[in-house]
Amino acid sequence: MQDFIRTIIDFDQKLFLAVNSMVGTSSIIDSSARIIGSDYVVPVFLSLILIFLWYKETSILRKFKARLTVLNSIFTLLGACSIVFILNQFLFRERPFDLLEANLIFYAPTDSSFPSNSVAAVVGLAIPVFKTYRKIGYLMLSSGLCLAFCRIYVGIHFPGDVLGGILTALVSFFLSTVLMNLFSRQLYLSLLIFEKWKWLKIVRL
Amino acid sequence: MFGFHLDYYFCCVLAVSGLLFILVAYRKSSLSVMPYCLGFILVLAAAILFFNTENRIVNDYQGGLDANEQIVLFALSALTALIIRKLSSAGKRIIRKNIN
Repeated sequence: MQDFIRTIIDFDQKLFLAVNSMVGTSSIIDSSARIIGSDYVVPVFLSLILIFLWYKETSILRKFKARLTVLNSIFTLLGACSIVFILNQFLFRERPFDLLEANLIFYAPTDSSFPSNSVAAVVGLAIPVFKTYRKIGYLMLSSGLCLAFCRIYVGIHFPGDVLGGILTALVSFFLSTVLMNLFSRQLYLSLLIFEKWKWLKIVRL
Repeated sequence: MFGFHLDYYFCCVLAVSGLLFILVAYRKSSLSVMPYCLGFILVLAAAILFFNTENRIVNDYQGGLDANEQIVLFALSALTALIIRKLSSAGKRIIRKNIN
């Protein structure tokens, strides 16, 4: 078993080095990867898409369907971050720039490398949308994967961390869907209150 | 510009305002390209303004934003953009009424 784990870790490190060794070939690619891999571009872009989904429909049934999807995305994100937080209490994996001779072109995070928190969060936002709206879902998922690749490229995550982040997001999506089915009546009621209550007129478009 | 937190907040307000332009045009099934273009330009301008004014690739304990701060600031900025949108459309309505 230990040999098997060792083989996987070796493969992970080799894959990381293959991607990270491309750093320095083009300054434009390097700075683009730094910006896309940052904590601001992809999360804000995905949040903008969620706002778009929240307000885009005009008929009441479609509106509720879209808003339930957005709520599922938010719950999946929160669940994924909680799972990562719990996992980080038990296991710590060093960052690639601590272990290997990596090219670090990003700031040096100090928390555990596995699983990738940012990938878990953005993929968590994308999966529920992908389930309901395929085209927008593809756009969100590809942005998330782009962020994942950039974070390997800039030297702060192993590919295995990214995979761990995606699996975390999937588990969180499953839990969130189960919880939403359990509390579907309450959720519909909350959405109805949001739609009809006059004091919330300010947040309706 | 004004410090990391305020910069993030203002750029998010700009980006959400751009999105609201697109949204309103989409909901009205507007055939005009103008609101869509304006929306995209605002979103792009927000990103360019944010990344071109200072080094934004910094850790949260070195002046960057942690996840909680990001969530709160983004929600506040979305609310601000919505209020600005509401106020501007109310203002337009009053002006039109006065002209007529």
